[in-house]
Amino acid sequence: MEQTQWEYMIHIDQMTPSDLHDLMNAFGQDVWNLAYILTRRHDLADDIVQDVFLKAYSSIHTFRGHSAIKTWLLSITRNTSINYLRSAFVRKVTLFEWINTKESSPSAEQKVMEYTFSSEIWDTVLKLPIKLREVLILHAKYEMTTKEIAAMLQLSEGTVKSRLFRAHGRMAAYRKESALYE
Amino acid sequence: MSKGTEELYDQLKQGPFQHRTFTKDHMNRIVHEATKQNKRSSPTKSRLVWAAAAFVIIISIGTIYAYLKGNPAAKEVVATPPIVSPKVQESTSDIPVKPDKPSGQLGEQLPFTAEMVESITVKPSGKSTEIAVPKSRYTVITNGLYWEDLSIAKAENDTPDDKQVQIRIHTSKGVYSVPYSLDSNTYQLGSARYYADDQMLRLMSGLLEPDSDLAKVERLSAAAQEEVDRGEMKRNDNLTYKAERLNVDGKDTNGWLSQLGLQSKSYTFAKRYYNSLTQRVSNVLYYKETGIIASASEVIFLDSKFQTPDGIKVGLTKQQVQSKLGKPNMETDSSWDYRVGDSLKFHLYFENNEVIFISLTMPA
Repeated sequence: MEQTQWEYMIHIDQMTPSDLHDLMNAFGQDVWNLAYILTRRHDLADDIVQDVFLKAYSSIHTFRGHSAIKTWLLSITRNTSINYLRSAFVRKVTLFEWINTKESSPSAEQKVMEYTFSSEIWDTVLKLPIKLREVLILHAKYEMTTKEIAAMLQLSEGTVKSRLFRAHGRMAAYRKESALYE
Repeated sequence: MSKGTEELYDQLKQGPFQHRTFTKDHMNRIVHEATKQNKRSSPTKSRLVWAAAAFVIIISIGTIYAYLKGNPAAKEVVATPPIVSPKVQESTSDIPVKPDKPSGQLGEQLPFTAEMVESITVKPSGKSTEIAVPKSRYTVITNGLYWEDLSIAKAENDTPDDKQVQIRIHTSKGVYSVPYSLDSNTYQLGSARYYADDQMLRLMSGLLEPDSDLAKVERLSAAAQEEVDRGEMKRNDNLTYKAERLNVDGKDTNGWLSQLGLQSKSYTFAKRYYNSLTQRVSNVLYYKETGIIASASEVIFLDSKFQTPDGIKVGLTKQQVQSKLGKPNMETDSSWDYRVGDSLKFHLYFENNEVIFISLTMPA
């Protein structure tokens, strides 16, 4: 159903601003979440989500339906996030920030509310090394198969399974450890 | 899927934050930016330019090919590849890696990216020759530097080390240099020293002290990792082993770490390292007499006097291990891993079909 709704994207060479808005409405939060989980920084997640959708907007002609559009967006997000982490980490001053500083920013209390984890498990997940974190999140949160993850990360399926296995092991150990202190 | 995994997956489907963090304001701004970009370039137009460029290139190649076909002398010139001597970059021109501020994650202050790395060499002090770091181990160095938390990893002793080596990271922008001391497992970054991680300690031991026990561990761990990365791994998820069968001399990792902690003064050396996962500085302890290497989450046994209840010990062949204990849950040519609960905790490392060392690990 979800894929059918976006099938027309396979055939277009140029998105309209309205298409872009619809796409962000449907997948913007997913993209932001993945960018945050990989970089562990709100400011980078804000920058990455902008880069991802601008890239999707300018290169929709390269999307030809080999994967679901959500997977395509997540793939761009993952690669963009890794590039941000690997790059010189120069903090880009984006249009976002400029507007945020010009306009009234949300109160500190509101910010705290916005950035409260939905579950304590996130404290633990974000401690995982990125190689384990990304496979766990793509599998658990985004419900991608190990084959899809392998294609996205350009790894063998065996390596993905091994990392997933190690991620589960570490999560179980963390949970066991925290249970001891409760 | 186990109940624990199901619960974990359910929790991960929500969040990470309670509230929406991607808002309509974000969307409006991105649409605004996209509209601006759209005015600057048109993909249709740019594809026409690329098509025209491709046409010119094809015509040029065709012309050159036709010319070469009718001109044997020219063909010879083209067929001979130019011999280029490798460019030797003098260490005097190295760019030292100096963080702007002595706090936070070093990765945010590094002047190079992992993609920029062309090669990495290690230059011992007072020697003109350099040791090439294997390509598969570049990530040990780049990741180690990237995840270094300068606030936590700062070493107590800032005294420069006479024996320190230069880790030279060759990039297209130049050679970045990081002094490193194997004695203290520290980097010199600016005016202070910082503990490197345990992977770095192993790697540098492998390069600088190839006959040491740490070098042996590094060699086989690296081989096993390369096999996993190449996908040369077999899995046997259905096998389960009782935890007691995978204890060494009656103790699991925790038991051994407690015992070694109590006997902490008997070690041959203790080297501190920064653990980026726990964000703490811990010790790698080496006991030469007993052939044990221990860190905060691993105990390694290099001597055949230690064994499991089934008699699994250093020196056995794969066939002997399989008949005494059984197949591993994960298997490569160099390592066999056995699961306890959800985690692979018992590992055997092989060379020439013989157990070289046993490793007990804790996931964290």
